[in-house]
Amino acid sequence: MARVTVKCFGVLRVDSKIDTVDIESSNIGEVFEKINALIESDMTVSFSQALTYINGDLCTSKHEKLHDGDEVWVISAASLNVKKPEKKTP
Amino acid sequence: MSTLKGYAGRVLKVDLSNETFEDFPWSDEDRERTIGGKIMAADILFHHITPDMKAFDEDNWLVATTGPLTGCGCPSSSRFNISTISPLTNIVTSSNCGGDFGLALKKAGYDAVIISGKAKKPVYVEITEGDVVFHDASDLWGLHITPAQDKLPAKAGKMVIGPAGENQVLYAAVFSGERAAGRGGVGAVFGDKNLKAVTAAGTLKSEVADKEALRATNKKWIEQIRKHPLTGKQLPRLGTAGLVAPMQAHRILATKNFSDGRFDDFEKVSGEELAEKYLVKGSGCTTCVIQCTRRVTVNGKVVKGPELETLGLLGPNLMNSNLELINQWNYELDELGMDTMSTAGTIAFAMELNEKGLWDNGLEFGKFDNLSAVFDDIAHRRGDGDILADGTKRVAEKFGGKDFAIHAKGMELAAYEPRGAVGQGLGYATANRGGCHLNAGYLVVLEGLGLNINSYTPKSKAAITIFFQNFMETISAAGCCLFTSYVVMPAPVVRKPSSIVAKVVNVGFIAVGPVIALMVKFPAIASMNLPMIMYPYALKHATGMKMNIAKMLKVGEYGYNIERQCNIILGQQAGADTLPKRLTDELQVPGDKRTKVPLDKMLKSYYRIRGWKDGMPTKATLKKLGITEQAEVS
Repeated sequence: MARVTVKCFGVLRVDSKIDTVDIESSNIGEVFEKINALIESDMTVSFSQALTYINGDLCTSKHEKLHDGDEVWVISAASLNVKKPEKKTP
Repeated sequence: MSTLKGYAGRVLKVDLSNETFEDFPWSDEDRERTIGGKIMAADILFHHITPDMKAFDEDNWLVATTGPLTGCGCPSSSRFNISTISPLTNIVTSSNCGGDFGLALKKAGYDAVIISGKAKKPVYVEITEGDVVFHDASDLWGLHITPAQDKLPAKAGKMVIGPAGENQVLYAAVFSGERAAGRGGVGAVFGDKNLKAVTAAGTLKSEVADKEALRATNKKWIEQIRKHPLTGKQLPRLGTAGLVAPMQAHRILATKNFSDGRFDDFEKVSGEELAEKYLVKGSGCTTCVIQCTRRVTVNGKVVKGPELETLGLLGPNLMNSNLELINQWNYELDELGMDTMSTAGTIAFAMELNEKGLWDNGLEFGKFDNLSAVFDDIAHRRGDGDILADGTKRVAEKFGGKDFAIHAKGMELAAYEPRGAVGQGLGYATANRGGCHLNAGYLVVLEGLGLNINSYTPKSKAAITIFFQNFMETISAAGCCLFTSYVVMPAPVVRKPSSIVAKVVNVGFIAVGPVIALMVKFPAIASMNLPMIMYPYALKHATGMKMNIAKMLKVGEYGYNIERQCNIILGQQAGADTLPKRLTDELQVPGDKRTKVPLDKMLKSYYRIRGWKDGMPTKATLKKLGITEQAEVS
């Protein structure tokens, strides 16, 4: 696990109110999982819905490893209208 | 009168010298050839200008034009255009505005107004149905934009200048409401003609060719704009300022007089920061469904906030991260009636001259306690303000620093640093009016702000640039805001920029460059209509003209070439399509050879595809387009 700073931009930031967060994560895929866990509304964001940068360089794979002190920018697409799947009642 | 619908059918010519007015002949053939807007204006100027004509000559005309879609219920179609010889560039400028003058002019019964001559004392011109009145404007002279407009008839559409225009600041703007025809110094030409304002009012309605079909098209079009992630979500939520973060990421955020493409404090001047801390509400031009304008509070008053270009050039490009100051400066510059972009670009250059010891002017990057006073000095041409009022190119002629004087053809560049988006660099260099991002073809949108095609490769950029220059020329001529063209970008790709589909589209765009080049050279290939491109449908239903993508490209090509011919008549030489050496010779990122604009390489392809030689349309190209040669004209 690496301790990284994640900065959110675009509609993601405005709608989720998440600006900058420090999280522990070993790769970019996990960053998205943790951001989604922090979002209080029913909005979600995935790797494909954003441009992701690690220390200013474009990240092309969600499996990219992270290191202590890395800064991750998540620049969301113009619209994030995917909702979390509703829980099916048994 | 026109048999084509959508048009008011008349063109007004006003002579300020003699205080007379008459109808100017403009036929349906002229309308078919130019559609309207900036192409119509360029065509009118082409037949009027002479090689020795200058911006401040009595003979220079101001040509304000609308498009056939203006006032036809089409989305974001209230635009009007002002073209003239620019005092800033000494070539033709076309300056577009979203204010209410265009709609009002059509209601008064005119598609365009040509203003000639020079008034002996300050005047304002009132255009109504069938009449023109010349009013003494002594009591308006000296007033800022808002108080001046407040003294004019409330219900009329207006064009007005502030102190900057009166004092012939070479980049003075014309305002219509809160919206500016900002670029190229059209306000200075108003000022030189002693023309403070023009108003228009009437009750006439333009007939359209097929009312029901146009209504259905408009309904679909509005829905399309509202559903698209850029025009329906990003622009309404964050305004154009929402592009700051992607610009930072792509290294295209002009910083410290274009010496870099990234700004450490970019978050403090981002659209997100603007939305969270300063936004009162979103708004927009009349008839606009996008609503990208930000409204913010300055000194307790709710006013129009800064657009991206203003924000970038008054922010990172001056090493300023104080968004509150940018809001305030934007308001002050608007009230003085100055183009925020050229003002900021000139000041950034002056700051670097001072830093390098070439001009001791008191201006420093990151120090801003004196800038409001500097703006006022520029608008009134006091002290060093008199020098700054002439723009970057002339300041460089006086103090040196040509290699980092950031302009093209004398016009300061927009806020996109082209070493991070080389296609945009080609556009800046070739744009007819100078360093304009829109007239350039706006490739930066494909190179990182909507799509993500390879922003460093010169491959296919010439063809794509020409395609968009021509296409956008016609969109503008129709009377539409260029932001409506965003919907052409496939929504699924914009929604998922890192998906496999997006990657394929981005690579594919470059790969199909040769096909795009063919389409540009032989527009007939595109004799079709596509459901996501609504302009041809709207133009057809509004005017009754046969219209498709091919015709839009052909009209756009005509427009681009005739405007170029105007510039050539006015003395533009081979080699004019260039950029400062900072952008073409210096690497933005040391060691990364991709990070400069390979202009010569792209220009070669650009000229070949356009049918130009050294920036001049060849005889064959002019013949193909039906444009009289320069020699015959002069």
